[in-house]
Amino acid sequence: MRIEGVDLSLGSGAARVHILKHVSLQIARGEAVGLVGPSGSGKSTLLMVMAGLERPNEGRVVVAGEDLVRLDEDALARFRGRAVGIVFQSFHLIPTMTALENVAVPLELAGREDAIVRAREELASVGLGERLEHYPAQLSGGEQQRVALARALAPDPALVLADEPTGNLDEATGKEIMDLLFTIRAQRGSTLVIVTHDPALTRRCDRVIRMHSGIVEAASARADAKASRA
Amino acid sequence: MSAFVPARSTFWWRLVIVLRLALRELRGGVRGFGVFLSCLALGVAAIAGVGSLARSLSDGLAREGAVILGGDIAFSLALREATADERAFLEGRGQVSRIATMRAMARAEDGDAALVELKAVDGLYPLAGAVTVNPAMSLSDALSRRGDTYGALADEALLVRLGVAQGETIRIGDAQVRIAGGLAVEPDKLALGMGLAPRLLLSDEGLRATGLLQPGSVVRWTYRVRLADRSDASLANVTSEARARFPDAGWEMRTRAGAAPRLEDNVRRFAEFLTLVGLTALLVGGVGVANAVKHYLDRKRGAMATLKAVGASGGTVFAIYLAEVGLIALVGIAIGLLIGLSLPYLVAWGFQAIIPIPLVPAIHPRALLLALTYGFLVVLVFALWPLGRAHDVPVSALFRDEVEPYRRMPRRRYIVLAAAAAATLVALTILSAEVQRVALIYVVAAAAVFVVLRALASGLMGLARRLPRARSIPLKLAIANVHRPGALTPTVVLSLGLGLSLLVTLALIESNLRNQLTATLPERAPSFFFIDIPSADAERFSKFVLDRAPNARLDEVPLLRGRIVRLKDVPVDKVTPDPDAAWVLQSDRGITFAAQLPPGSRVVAGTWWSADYDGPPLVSFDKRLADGLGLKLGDTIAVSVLGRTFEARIANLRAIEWESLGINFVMLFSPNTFRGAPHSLLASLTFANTATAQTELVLLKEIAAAFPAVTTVRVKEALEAINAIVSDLTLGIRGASMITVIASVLVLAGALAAGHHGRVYDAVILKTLGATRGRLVLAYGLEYVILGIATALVASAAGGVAAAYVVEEVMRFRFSFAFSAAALAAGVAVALTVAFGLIGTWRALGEKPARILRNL
Repeated sequence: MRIEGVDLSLGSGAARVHILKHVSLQIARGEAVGLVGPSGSGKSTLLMVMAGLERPNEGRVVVAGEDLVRLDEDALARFRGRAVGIVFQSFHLIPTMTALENVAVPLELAGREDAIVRAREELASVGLGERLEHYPAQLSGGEQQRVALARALAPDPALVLADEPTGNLDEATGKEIMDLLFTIRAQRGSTLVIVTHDPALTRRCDRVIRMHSGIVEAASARADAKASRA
Repeated sequence: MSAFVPARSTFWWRLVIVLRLALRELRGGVRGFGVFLSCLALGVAAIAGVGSLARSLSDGLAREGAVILGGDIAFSLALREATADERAFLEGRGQVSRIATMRAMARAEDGDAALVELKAVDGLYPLAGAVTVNPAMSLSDALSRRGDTYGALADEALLVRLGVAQGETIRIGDAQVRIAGGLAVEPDKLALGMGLAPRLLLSDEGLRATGLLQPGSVVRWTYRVRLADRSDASLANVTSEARARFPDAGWEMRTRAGAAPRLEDNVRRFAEFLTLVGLTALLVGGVGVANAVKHYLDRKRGAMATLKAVGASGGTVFAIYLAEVGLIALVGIAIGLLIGLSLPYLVAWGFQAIIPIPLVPAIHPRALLLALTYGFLVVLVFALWPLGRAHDVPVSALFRDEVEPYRRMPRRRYIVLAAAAAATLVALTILSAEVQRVALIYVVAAAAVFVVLRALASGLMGLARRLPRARSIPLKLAIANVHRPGALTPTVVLSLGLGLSLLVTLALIESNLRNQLTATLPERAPSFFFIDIPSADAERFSKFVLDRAPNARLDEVPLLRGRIVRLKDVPVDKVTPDPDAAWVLQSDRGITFAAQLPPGSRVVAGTWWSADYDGPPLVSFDKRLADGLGLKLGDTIAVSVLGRTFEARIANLRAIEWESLGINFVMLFSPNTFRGAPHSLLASLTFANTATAQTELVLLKEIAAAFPAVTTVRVKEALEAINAIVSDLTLGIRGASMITVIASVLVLAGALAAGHHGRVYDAVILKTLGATRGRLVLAYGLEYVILGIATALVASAAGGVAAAYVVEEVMRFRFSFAFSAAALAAGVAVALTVAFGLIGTWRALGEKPARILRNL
């Protein structure tokens, strides 16, 4: 993933806020990157830019060989369905669909005939093989986040984006979910970008990018990660 | 340390607390109640408006009674003038004016002929009100005789039809008549009922000069009296005296209090029909009420749980939200009442000039009270159920969500309350109706449609749930949207289905009615009816007609006019007939005698008499009317014909095919009954193949010239006149049914708006997961098409059943399902659902995912 000179302002007139200021960075295939910084520093917005959910005013965003800025809304949707999995802090499951249906949706949208079978396997892999027909409101927070995780990973995306995925969970559950995320990601070799305030989580990343007021301040790499890659 | 303060727990104190909390809650705004308020205001306005307008019309008819009747009291006689005794009696009570009315042919100098409703008046006419002539001149000048010509005033339509202008002459019978001007205002027009032909007003002297007054001519003589003592008591005295002094006069009496009884009946019945239409709008609106309350309570779940957490009981929570809904309903009802009460004023201001009925706009508290009660009852019926569920909102709702809150049944007390409100609504609908049978049918039909539609919604959801997973994603999404928790299915099916059922019912009744009046005619109906053919001229007439129309069939029957005076030896004023059959007893009927059973009828009970029967007089009676009058085979009927009373025994009952338009009679006697009595002939002429208008008009001209005394009714023209009346009526009915359709659309739009938040969320998440806008539009579009088509099919079926009942049982002719009418209504339903659905969805699709996700 290559981000070059991305600038983004939201709102208009006096309420216009300059959120991302000439951000440039590169993330290698298979890398796990932690995105940290104080609230309002632009982490989540940068994540949305990476997902093609937010269009920058300036700059280029190239993910898995696609220049997102040049794609229209529908092409972006198709691209996400194919290449990007997102895990939100608030889970964002569709309340009127069962766990199985929620996980199957991106696969179905991508035209996969084995959507239901895959969704079932994916849910089993996050330990929810017994709760397939439950609606989100019938699941605990941790279970909902597992469903969200299964949904994000089901299409085998090249890029997994997670926005404070443990923010709404207790410590033990949060840890369980992250263990799952890192394990599955490692098995599949997906690139991971994770926005977090949790130092324990950043320690598990290959690299940590620190943001402040819309600017990438510093990037630090974990020694053992480099060693393992070498 | 604070002292212990005992809690107050009286009913009134609790009520104050409930109201205070309700008002505080309402400070947060009534978002989501737009549809609730609109539906309620619309339904209440319709009921209040119709009621107020009908009463204003009745008041108008009552106030203008003397003008409409042409006097304080009117005595009307068929076929004969008053005797000297009778005339002396009337003249002893006040000023008497006599008019004669009959149908006749008017002929222009160039031979063109047209049917006219002739009205001959004396010098005192009109005793009340005034005739306006165009151009302005006095009535006596207009009707005056000049040499051999008699003055007359004509409806504009007659002048156009005959192509004559003011000052030109036409012929009526043997008389030469000068068109002095146009008849701009005829004050007593309403009392004479609706005519099939244009009016021609001339003097009494002019009528006598026509030579049309022959024995047996169908002429009606009406004596209007302007009483010397105009008090109500004197009016009552005169009528009872007249009855006592002349029990066998056979005159029809009307007073200024009931100048146009049929019109008043029609106004009342039409108003009742429109009230039911208004009630349907209110019921459709009820679905919107239930939705609004449910969504409001969903939003207030946290507040309810909080109230409970701080000590409110379930009953208190219920009471608070009931008070809130009641207060909001009050606003909607007040708006509706305001619109309803202003309707008569608006109509009087905007349309008085074009409506033929005088209108006295006023505020009618009874009509308003009825509308208010309907409004509140509908709110209670539809709101108590969701409100009852508020009782059991758990405090734990503060800590977790539920898939579908309020899924369980409310407590029994709330179910009983809702049922009681529904029962009161039903009772009010039936008891406040004049024709309770119709109201009862309405209630049963409405309830049945409700149940069927609710079952359809559940069935549709169940079916969608069980369907194998579709391969196409949009179809899969659409099917999931049909059955998922919180789906729009029940709301759309109910609201749209109710409105649509009514629309289909009315459309089918209208198309059947039109079909009956026009489409079935060319094959079977006669082209002409000839009235008042003197029996002496019968042979010459028939030869004349058949010479000119050799391929046509001429059916002739003897015609007498008679009035039923006794049924089973009981005088008719002591008989209480079924309302549908009462008209037979009200005035003179055409009667005939025949040796053979006439075509277009069949004997359903008893036997037909032999051709040479010569025993005691027998009569054959219409089966349906006999049932309505409580008559059976063997019962006796006495009729008064030309002053003589004839008694006959019912030998058989006939089922008559009235819609064939052939000659047929309610009463048909054995030929020996009236042996020797003078009579004229009634004839019909049916062409073997459909005659062109040209052929008909030429024949009409020739017959009018050769037989000036014979009145020719051209069926096509008469039906055109009836068709025009039906068109006006159906226009009114369609206008009224639009109210229901608007209510349906409001509820539909409201339901879609209420679901909008969820749709935006779904759309955003689906877009995030890779769904394109095209796929989402297709998915939502398919969902609305599925709902629209299913609803349209069921509503068409329900409308078909209802229309079939009305057409077969009330109007008594064969029903045919007009696919085009039903398809049009169904098409409208699908189009509305898809259009409204997609308008909302389009907005959902336009939302930027990042903005929504940020705020979630």
